[in-house]
Amino acid sequence: MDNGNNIKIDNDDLIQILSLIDSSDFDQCELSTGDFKLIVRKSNCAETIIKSEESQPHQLGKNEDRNEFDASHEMSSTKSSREIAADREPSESAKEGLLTIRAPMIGTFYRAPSPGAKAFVEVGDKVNENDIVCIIEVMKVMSSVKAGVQGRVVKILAENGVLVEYGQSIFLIEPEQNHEAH
Amino acid sequence: MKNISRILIANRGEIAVRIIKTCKRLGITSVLAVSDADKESLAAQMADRSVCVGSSAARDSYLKVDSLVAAALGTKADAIHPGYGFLSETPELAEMCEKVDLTFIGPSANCLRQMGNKLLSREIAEKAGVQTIPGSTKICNSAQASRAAEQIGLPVMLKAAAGGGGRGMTIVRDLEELNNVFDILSSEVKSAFGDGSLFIERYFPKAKHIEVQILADCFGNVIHLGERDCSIQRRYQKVIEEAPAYALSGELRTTICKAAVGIAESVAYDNCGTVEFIFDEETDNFYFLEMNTRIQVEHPVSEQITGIDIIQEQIESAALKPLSISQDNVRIKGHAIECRINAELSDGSFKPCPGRIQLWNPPTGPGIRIDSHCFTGYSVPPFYDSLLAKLIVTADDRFEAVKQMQICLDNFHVSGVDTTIPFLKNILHRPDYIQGKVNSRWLEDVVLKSKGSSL
Repeated sequence: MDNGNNIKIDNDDLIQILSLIDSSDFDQCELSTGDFKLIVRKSNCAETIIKSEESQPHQLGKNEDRNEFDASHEMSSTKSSREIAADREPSESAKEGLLTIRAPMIGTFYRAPSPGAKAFVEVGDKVNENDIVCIIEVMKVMSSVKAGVQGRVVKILAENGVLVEYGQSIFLIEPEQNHEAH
Repeated sequence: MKNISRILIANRGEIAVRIIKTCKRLGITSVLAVSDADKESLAAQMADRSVCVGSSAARDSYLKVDSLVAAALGTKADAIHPGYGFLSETPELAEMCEKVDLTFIGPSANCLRQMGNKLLSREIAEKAGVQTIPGSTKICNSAQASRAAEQIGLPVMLKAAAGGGGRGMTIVRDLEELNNVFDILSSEVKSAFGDGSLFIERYFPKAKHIEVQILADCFGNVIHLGERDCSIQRRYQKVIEEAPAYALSGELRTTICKAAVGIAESVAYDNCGTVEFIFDEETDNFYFLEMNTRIQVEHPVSEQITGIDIIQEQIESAALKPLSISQDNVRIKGHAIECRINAELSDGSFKPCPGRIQLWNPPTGPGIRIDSHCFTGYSVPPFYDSLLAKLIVTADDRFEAVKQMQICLDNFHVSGVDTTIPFLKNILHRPDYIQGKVNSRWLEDVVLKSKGSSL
């Protein structure tokens, strides 16, 4: 209990806040304390300020019936969100402004629609939001995973036929050149 | 015999820690299924490996049968330990395990099904020659309910056949009330448990809750580890548990334990379980209440007075090994008391109080056992139950154990979140409790009313 008004918010707190919002019916939350300000809006809202993997289960729920998953993870360039990304996934993604596609569920990761078939994507390929990048199998149920972002595949982080965990980074994507830099 | 060398633990909190400890002692590799919120938990740090199965909400992680089975297969585990709560009593998980050649550490799906339905389990107890609480069969409407209630005698307990964990039941004191609550409860339990079947049992306002710890293997061996008294309850949730059941005479203890073993034998029960009874002190009668087909929160008090590791016996009987002990070798020694310490507001509302633990300093010493997943700096997530720790003391007799518990509660220091420690201290110093003059209504009707708390 140090000083009164300025509550210190660390990474864990932030994750909890995001999870709480995600599991709630609210679409938006604004929180400010001291010089820290956090605005979170769910993915279907217009101006996403911070959008992290915590918004994913929401999307997952929507698409569950079709077994299609939109694994978009746009990180904004505000300072706070960059720090979250770096903290949670100490990979090259945060440093180089790359986007991460994460596994929307636990299961076996497959790069191709069937054994021996051509992989959905290779390093260097261009992907659009709706392009399928891989399949995750859970108990014989195959679910295709969409890129959810636009860009070029820079790295494939998971091995074919191996278990991926919920939230695990599976692709690194270099975003389309952005004209308005901020 | 089946080989169990790697176990996926499909649970969290203190029970995950508890299971990992036994795995380590037995040289079994532990793989912990975690939700997004539990990635940094104590259990995740202790397990040989942890694997994230879904997001924070339990329905997306700890309650997802296919994700948990996929996690077990993907990490090459040979068995799943479900702990308590979550999927521990779900026949679908046991069946799915069987299909993919995983060992479910618990009783057969058949036992889970039979005992999971309260109407069915009543029939089983009756067939085994054990007295059940006077009650009805399945009731379809409030007119039927009124007739049954008049026959049985008010007050009655209106219960869901599929209910559990203190949910899906309500005390009814008159016929008008019964009329009012019947449809509400029926639709509530339909949506909560998928089965809206209700029945009525006589309500005993001055009864003790007594339960018997059972161990069984696939060879038909069924033994008991004595009884527990779990009469200190708030809203059907146990708050303090003790072993042995001090209020019962030696003769009655033998009879009640035999009854429990008989029920387990009659369904070819094959893992650990608990048979619960209502004990009416006025008449010395006991009645079968239900059977829980899992490891229970309060198992440590039975372990303390018998020296038997119940989790180990669970794993071994799931591996189709015979029980390591026979009934003759079970020696009950001393008295153990367990207090459940929850993260709850201490203003009388008992509302869950998640947040960061700034100080976690439990008592230590001979005869003191702490089963917990907490540590200084741990952030109690808001998604799950509020249990922080179980404080268990063991002494030569009940008097000494009560004294020891009073001291331990005084020396249990937690800050950052509100806990039930002050509430437990209050109970432990009441003459009624010290003298054992309590029943399952005492906490709510006497303690909480006198404190002027809203219930």
